Amino acid sequence: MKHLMERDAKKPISRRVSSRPGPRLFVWAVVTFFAVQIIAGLVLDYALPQITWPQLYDMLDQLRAQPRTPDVIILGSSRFECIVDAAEIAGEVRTLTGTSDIRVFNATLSGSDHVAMEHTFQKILAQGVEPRMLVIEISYLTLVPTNYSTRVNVHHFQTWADLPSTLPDVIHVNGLNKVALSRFAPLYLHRYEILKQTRGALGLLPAPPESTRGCDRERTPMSDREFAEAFQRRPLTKDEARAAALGCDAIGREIRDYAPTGSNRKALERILTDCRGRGIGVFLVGAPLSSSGRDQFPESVKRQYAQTIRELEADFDVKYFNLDACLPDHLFRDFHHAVPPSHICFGRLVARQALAPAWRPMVRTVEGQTVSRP
Amino acid sequence: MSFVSMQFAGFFAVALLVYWALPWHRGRMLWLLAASAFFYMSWNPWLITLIVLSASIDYISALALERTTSPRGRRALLVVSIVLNLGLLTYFKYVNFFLDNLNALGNWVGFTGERRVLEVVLPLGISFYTFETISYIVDVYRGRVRAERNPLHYALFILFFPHLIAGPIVRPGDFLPQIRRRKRLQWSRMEVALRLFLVGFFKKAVLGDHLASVADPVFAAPASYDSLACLIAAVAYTGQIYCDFSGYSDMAIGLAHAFGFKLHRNFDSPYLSADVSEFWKRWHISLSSWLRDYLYIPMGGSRGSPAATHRNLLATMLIGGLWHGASWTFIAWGALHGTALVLHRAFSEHTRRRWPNLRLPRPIAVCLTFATVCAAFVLFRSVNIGDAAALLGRAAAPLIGMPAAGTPLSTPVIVLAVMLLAAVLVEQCAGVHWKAFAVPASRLGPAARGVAVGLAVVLLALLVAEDGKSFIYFQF
Repeated sequence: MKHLMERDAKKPISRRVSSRPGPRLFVWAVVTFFAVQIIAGLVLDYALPQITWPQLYDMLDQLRAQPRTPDVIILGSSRFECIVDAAEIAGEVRTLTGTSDIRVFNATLSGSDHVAMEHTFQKILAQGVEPRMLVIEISYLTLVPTNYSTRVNVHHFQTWADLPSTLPDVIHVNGLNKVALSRFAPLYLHRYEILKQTRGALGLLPAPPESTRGCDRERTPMSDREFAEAFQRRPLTKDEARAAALGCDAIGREIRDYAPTGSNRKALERILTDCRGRGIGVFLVGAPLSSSGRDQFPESVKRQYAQTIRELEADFDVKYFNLDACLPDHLFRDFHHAVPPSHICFGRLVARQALAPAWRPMVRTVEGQTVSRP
Repeated sequence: MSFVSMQFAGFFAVALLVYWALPWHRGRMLWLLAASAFFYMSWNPWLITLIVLSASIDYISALALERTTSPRGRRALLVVSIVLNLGLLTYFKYVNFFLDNLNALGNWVGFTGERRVLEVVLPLGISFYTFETISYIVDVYRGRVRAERNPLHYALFILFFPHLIAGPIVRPGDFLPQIRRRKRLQWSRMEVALRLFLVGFFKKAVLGDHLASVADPVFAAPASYDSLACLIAAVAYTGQIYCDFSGYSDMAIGLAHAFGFKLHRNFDSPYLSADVSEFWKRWHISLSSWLRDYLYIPMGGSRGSPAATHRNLLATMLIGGLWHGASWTFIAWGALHGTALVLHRAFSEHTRRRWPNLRLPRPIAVCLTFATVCAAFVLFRSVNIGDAAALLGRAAAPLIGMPAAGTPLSTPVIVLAVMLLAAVLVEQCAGVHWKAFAVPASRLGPAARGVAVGLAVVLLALLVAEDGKSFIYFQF
């Protein structure tokens, strides 16, 4: 060792420092990488959450741009995103009740389960927006303790503070790699959105498309005859049958050890408790599924689900409308996502069965015009 | 398992840690062989049998060659080994190409009938490891290397995962001695390995993949785009293929370094070449030197008449083109380069005799060479000759005062392309003047260098393309 030091001492200082071997460079590199990533992650969690879940904040921007607080807000996942058209629903309620000023807002976000819907609802309330009625998507798959959305929530909105309570669920869905990426490599995980927002700030992005979540657009015109034709059940072609069954093989994995308890049930109950406290009427609407999808759920699952619905209706004074069989199979692109014009059928059913009967007591006539009661 | 995937990062971390944790050399080589086999089997587990078969043919043939003294016997062994290896390559890579052309010929002469193809899976890396096995048997035949007695060493020479899928094509004389040499963990070497890997990663995952987003839409439908779009796409693809392939090579060389193996440089700023001949001394060096040593020189090289030399050049480049893929576009690409080499040789000879002091200014020579290479790469990339002609025609139309109308590229895309190509140009120049960059960096202490590396990795992770493309040369 002494001869190495003597040899070292003869070298100029710069060469002495740089020629010394050792893993220090790698240690510094690793420490720097993770330090930057963790700090960036904290910044994203608390100062720039629109990077981690841009769809939520885009929806909140559109909500803020509404002329007034919507009377009805719809929460759901991509299943509802495909089939909810606020203009269709609002138009149908207006036609049925004779009122012209009900406002409906589509707050559905893809990848949402009840945990994500609770987070969305809290963000909506934080904006000072309190609707009169809330429509919430519900199905066999939204009530399982963990599902695909559990992994998605990890990088959408969960922070270090949520990690202890959510880790068991995440491990259950093999989502540890998602946690590792979102906590230790958030700049990599969200790089696309970071670069997109940077380009937007520099004025390099085209103007965003017109808002589609509000109800100020024209309804899709459709006569009763056209409606009957479009939604009549008929024999399926090979491609249609294949599409309607697409994804059914994943259902078994999601409902193994089925029990409508856990994080999702608790999140839903918290939403319902909050709504009850604020006087917001809640409608739970069963998401449409293809017949192939419905057949995947055994009787035991259906019984547990029905029992859960009864409990929710009784405990929280909510109404449940089962629309899981309302759409013909030829309108599905996989077992739980439908294609146009399914939004017309779904919109009219939600309006007729749930919203219009609830809305009628809320309207009165003022100077010859039918308006909603404050 | 691509080099730019999270799965590979996990695999490499485990492979490297266990490798250096093992205290004895034999154990390390065995572990490396097992890891390499695992790496190859992650693509398709059954194809390991093919590579083992191919390697076994040459291993046994080489041992038999050394024991055989009669020239006829030795030659027979050499021929059998090469024929078997090339036979496997021909079957897996070219059989459907031949059948397609046979079908087309039959249709042309009036035969009707079902188009017959075989369901053949192209084994990953077959073009590369076939050339390595051929170079091994030929070098043993010529007495350049001794036949390897240890089957595990020979298997590692073929299966060594950093170069297995897409080269560099290693020579047995370079690699086999390294397997026998005991390795020592050197942190300075690890630093070099890390730097090479990061540079390669940047070239592939940032420059190459983003250039692909510029080029791909235009190559998919060249007739729809205007002249400027076609020109930008051609140049963008030229940049993309360089970044993709040299990036992969840099990563492979870096990974090999981490295990204590030295692989030769595969690219040497090829786009700064002043002529096509120089280009082939700087582009895919391991392939061009292989073609020179095992094809061009055995055919006679430049030892015969000028006509023979030209024939040898053309034949070598045609085979080089066909090696890349079973398609007429690759053959045309090889033919174009062969023709360019022949013309360059003939023109150089002629001007040297008549005007010995005449020299084209280097910047102009570089631009002309780049234009030739760029046009050739359009053939390389296009699905068929017609699409290549359409794109080249539209790109060159302004030269005759008739620019082609069509969809233009948007301004942000053009700006992106210019920035990326400028980065490629900087990289080419940096490659030539690498000492100017290396010396200042080496004056920093390990902490400063470590922080710089950490920040570089953060930046890389931010700039990696969203839709990462697979390596272009993996298809060969």
